[in-house]
Amino acid sequence: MAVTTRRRKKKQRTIGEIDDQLTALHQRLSDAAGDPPPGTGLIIASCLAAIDAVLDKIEVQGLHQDALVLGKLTDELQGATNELNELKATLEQIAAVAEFGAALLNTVASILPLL
Amino acid sequence: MVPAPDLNLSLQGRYAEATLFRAWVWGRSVAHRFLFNTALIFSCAICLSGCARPKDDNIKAFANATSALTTFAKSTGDLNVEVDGKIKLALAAHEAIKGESATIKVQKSILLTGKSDADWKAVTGFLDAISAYATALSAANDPGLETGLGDKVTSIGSAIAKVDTAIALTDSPDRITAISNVVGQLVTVATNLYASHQIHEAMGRAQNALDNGAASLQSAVHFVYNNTQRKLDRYQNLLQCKGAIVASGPEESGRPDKLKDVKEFCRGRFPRTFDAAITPASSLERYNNFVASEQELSGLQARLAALQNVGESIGAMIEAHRKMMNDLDDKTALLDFLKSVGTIADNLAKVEAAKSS
Repeated sequence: MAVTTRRRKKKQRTIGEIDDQLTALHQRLSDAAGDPPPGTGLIIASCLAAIDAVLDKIEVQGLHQDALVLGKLTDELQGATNELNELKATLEQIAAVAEFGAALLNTVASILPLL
Repeated sequence: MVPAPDLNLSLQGRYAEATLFRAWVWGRSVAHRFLFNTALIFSCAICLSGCARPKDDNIKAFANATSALTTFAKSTGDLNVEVDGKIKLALAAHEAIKGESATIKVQKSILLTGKSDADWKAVTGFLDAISAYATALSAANDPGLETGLGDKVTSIGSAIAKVDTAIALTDSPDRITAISNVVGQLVTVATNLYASHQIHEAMGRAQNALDNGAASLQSAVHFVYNNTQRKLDRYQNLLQCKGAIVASGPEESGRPDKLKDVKEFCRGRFPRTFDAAITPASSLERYNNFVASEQELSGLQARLAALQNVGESIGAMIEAHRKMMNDLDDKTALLDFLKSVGTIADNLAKVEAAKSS
């Protein structure tokens, strides 16, 4: 299990690195396209198209894998948020009951001498 | 006629009343001691368990920075869609000047390739959950909740004392007030202890989710960032191509075309887009075109660059959360996180200021 996780992490890291390197290359080629060496205009355009095709697949697939993981964890995080909201509500309820009780007792105390 | 009181019964009643009163006073003093000792134990307990509870100021700063960070992370996707819209508009404009069709429709802007909307929604859902959690943490950790509670419980105690005094059950209302105050203190301490325990539990659960989601969240944001970078490259090429066309005019003019290679690139990169004959622009038009293109492009690039460190900030946020949960005195991780988010905010503010100036 641990070995699989490590392999997967390594794979993710490698995909991330490939994505970074190809993105950097894409940027350099795009910059060069503004003033291309003679006869290279079409070659640069083809290279950029090829990089786009590869990276589009990597990014769409990578985002999909990440989204699957995060979708599952969102519930866990919402659970923690609900616990905190319930805690706040409990504290506020206790305070409200205490406030009401104090007001009631004060009223009783003020009425009693008249009885 | 009023019947004469039964002296014997009255005396018995007074004796019973006095006995009950003594028992009550004894009971109160025992209760007083019990409450005081319990309060002491709880106070010690809170001192020990207090280590698990974050300080209010730290939590507030953490919550604010986390909300800002989640907004920045989401704006990476917004920028991706925005640049895509600019590309689509530019392509439609080139299509329009060809004059082949009277109705040119600008295509809808999409995120990445248009197949990732649901996935990005899951990512932003997680970011929203982080933001909501941070806000709830700050609200539940608000010390005012328990301080206010203590005041209210103490005022209940005072009210009981007033009732007691009113019905003249005792000649020592001070003691009752003291007990009431201890009750108030005890409830405050107990509530604080309960709140600390609950907050620590919730933080532990959240930390688990954050640790497990850290790599995926950073990776998802990074994929969208890189894709936006490529779209920006594409938009830059479109602007360059537009500049090349308005600068040199149609190739049929008979003069040697200095921008032949650029145009070749443009036709290869954007097939069927740059084959319209454009009347050469005046030098003033070319000047304005250049300035407008450069300003727009540098503004977009600065916005994207400002979001470059969102992934690192996510890591810093998770580390700050862990430290707050385990070690209150160590503010280093929190400060690193605040600094990291502050830098992104500053850079985005500079971009906005440059846009409006």
